[in-house]
Amino acid sequence: MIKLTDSEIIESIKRGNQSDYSILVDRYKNKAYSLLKRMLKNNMEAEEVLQDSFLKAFQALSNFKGEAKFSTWFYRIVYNTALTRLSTKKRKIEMEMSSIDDYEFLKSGFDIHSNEKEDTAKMVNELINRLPEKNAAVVSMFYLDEMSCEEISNVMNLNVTNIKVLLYRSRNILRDMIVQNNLVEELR
Amino acid sequence: MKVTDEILNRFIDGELNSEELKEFKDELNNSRDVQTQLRALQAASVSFKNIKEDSPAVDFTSKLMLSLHKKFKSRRRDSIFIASVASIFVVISLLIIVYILAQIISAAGPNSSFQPGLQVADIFEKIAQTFVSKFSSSSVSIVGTIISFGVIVSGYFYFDFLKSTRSN
Repeated sequence: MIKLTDSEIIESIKRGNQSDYSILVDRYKNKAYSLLKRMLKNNMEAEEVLQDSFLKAFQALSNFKGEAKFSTWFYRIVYNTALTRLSTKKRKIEMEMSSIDDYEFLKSGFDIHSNEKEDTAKMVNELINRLPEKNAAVVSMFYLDEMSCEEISNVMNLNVTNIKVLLYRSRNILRDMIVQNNLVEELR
Repeated sequence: MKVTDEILNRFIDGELNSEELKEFKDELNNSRDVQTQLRALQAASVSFKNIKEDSPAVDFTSKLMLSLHKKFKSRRRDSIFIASVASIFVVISLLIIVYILAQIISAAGPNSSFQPGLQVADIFEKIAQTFVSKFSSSSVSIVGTIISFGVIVSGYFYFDFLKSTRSN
């Protein structure tokens, strides 16, 4: 079966084949949901925002000129919708107060020695779930969506240096935890 | 070369230039601490790479497509409603214009001297008189009742319409 490109699907939708939008939805729903889940820390909210984002993207599809990749354009909608949700709930202020520099709170609550190796994956997931939304977004897009720092900077409207700082800090937090718990060899 | 966190991260991402890379490798060969830090950072990077993708509910796509369909259906209904109200308004306006033109043409018959400004003024005077007579003390209550009834009925339908649009 021929795999249609994003632009071909968009052209088809613009011609009136609205049902083709489901192909794009299926293509991006998991990655966008993973990003939202890590930013919002709530499955239900992540799904609601994902639905809002897809609806917004559909309505704005006529404005999509194809200058950027559809994925970048769509992730920008997803990211901004998530930020709006966070600011609406005033959760953003709380998250920013707990600065990444003061990341001791991220390491608390893990008891690696009792959980052994099989739980290290869980530990990584839990750590990502505890990351502030911007760090979580960068980690998710960089590793899960395999986006470059330039693409992430376009999505988040930050410069590339800031994206790298967020990425390096997130990595350093996990590295410190790995060293603290003597997990270097297990994870390699 | 002082091996900072930034250098280690840039090494992992393959962003060191040839000179930096040479210096870094020298430092790496000579320092056990740098080796440990690098191994730990590589392990962190590998762990992030192993993050599993999450997925929303199984019926997410079908639900989304359904709500898209509903949304566009209600939007189509909105535009039909607006178009019908606008067309009624346009038809009434056209009828008034046609009536005025007909009056002007009939008044400007072959034997009468044609003075458009006066004719239009006469017609508007007639229309004004009609309205004044309708709102005279005897018929004001009847006209008021009809208007109120019309407002109540259209208000009911308007709020019902808003309610159904919101629920959609």
